[in-house]
Amino acid sequence: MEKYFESPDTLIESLKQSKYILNENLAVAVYLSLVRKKPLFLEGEAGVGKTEIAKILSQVLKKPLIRLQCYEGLDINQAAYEWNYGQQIIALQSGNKEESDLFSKKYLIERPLLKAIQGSGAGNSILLIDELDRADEAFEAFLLEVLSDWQLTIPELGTIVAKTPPIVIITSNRTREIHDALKRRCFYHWVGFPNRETELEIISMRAPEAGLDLQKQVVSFVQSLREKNLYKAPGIAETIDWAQALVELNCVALDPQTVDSTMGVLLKYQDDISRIQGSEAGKILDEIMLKNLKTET
Amino acid sequence: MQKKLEIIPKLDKNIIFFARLLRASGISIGSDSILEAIESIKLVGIKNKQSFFYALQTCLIKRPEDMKIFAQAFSLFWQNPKFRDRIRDLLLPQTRMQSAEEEKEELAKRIQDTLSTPENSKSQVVEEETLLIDTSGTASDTQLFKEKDFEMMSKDELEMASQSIKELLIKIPKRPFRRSENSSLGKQVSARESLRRAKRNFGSVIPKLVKKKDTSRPVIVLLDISGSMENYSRMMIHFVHNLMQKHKKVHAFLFGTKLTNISFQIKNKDIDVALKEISKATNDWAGGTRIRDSIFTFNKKWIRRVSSSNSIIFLITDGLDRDHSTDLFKQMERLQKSCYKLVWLNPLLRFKDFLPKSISIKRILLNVDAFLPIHSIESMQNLTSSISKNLVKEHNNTFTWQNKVESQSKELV
Repeated sequence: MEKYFESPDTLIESLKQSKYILNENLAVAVYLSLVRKKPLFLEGEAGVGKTEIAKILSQVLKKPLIRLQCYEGLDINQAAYEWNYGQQIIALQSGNKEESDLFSKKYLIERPLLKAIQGSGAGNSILLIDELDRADEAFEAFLLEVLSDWQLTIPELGTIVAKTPPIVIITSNRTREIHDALKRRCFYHWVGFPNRETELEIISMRAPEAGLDLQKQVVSFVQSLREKNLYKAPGIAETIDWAQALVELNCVALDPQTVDSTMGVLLKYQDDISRIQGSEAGKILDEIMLKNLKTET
Repeated sequence: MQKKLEIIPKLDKNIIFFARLLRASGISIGSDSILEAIESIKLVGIKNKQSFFYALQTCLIKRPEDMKIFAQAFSLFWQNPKFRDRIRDLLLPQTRMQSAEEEKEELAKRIQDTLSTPENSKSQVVEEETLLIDTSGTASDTQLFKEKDFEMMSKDELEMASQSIKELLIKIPKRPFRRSENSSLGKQVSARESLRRAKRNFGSVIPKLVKKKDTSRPVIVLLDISGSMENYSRMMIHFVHNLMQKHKKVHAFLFGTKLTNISFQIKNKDIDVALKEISKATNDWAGGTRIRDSIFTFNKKWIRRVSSSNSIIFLITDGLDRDHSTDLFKQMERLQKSCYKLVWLNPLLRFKDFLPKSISIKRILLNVDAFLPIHSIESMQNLTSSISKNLVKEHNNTFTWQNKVESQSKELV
């Protein structure tokens, strides 16, 4: 049995080298899904690094990443396989083709799921099924066979079984509830917002150009924003974007004016922006300064 | 059996007990999850309590709502082996006793009727029989009953009304879907079907056409259960129950002073069971109304979880808010913008000379797509036609209402 990591701790360490900070809770979930060869179902707000995990894992494990972006109406033709109908019709018209010739691998177009099942060369690949909540329920039902038995049935060809099952990561933004039958086949993990220390570590890795002072201020600001009962609290992606934006603007420390003018990087709802911009942002800044002073003294 | 149990290692047994404790406290856990947990613990080990916790959590919990119960149960169960058995014994009867008491406290007046004693129900049956003979006489009596306001109904009449609500079929407008079906009237060519045809016709291609399918729209019901709606809320729950039985995607929420999701309590359940469960889940029956706060909570917490963008929202309330916050206007605006159509069902429309005088009513009215009555069986029956009518602009009499308030819109925002 192929074992990718010795323990959750080694997993955390090796992902850290690829600039991805994993908290212990998520590390255990990822570790178990790798060892138990079960899909990992990640749910959480937008911008907390769900998709990123799959990308980083593919980098660290040196396995190809196959991505299936979900949307309404997604069906087998786009997700699993399709016959090259044009070619088939030409073949049909050009000569006396038998049916077995017409439905052979020659005319089969592979889509992400079939690619993942067949694997790449010797090893398996990482399959990312992104934003599953955007697909309709009918598609979910189709995934059941793939995820539990690692096989795919093509009526004209037969069943294709994976030699080594792919590593599967499913993400959802929770715009609707995914059916229990699918959740049952996976390990579930709710990806929340990181705490102060973890977020600071992430920022120092992803936006090292920003000085330590600025990094600390950015993280404190975002952390207190998340407590403000907003429609959409900023995710880690937004924090990174903000820190990088501030660097581009040659900003060394937060001041009310820069905060106001860059608010659109953090908050994406007009109601939220108009609530925070101005006096509220100033208040948060003052609090941060006060805290910093206290810790220094 | 006894022998087999003894072979199981003690840790595995404890994990099974723990899973059963979780089950007893309302978390649904399949036995495959328990097996998974046992296997996972073998891998993670028990040296580190934190990893042990996370491993169990990963295997056993499938909904974030259950995390809290899990954490509490975990700290109780895995602290000291001596306590474990005692706690398990103590926990179960306690929760049962508590819930029984809570039930008594929380059951609203109307819902308590469903728990009436056998003797009472016997006498009810007799009364009903005589009543049936009285009313089944003429067609006009039935018509009168259908038009009768729920508020004016006696207990028996309400019983009958709930029966007739059960039989209603309310049609919800459909929406185009991205999947397609075979149809000679379609505009797109299906390559797959055309090939199949061509095979049969020795290679000559006759294009097969497909058209877009229709699919049902999700329905979200926001039901006011405050004091002013007391006489209607029970009938409205029957109405919601009907919707849920007959349509696939329905979400239901109750609000008085706070918002409660009751979809789970109603779905696939008998109406009496549902009523009991609902009264357990809510404690703001017949209290004050905080429409603004409830809509705010809905906008913030739920709107992105119930695929609202193509849904029809039924807001059932009289629109009388305790607070006069101007924010209500904004919240309603957001609600309307994040759904396909927002339909306000207001029992106050039973009065012929109803005027939108209250400021909260005005604020809501300006942000809805349709404004319809819901005070009798007949008004419920007419919903199907009036919804489809009101969603076409020309026939929408909601505009007449809105024009009446439009002039003062500046004060409202």
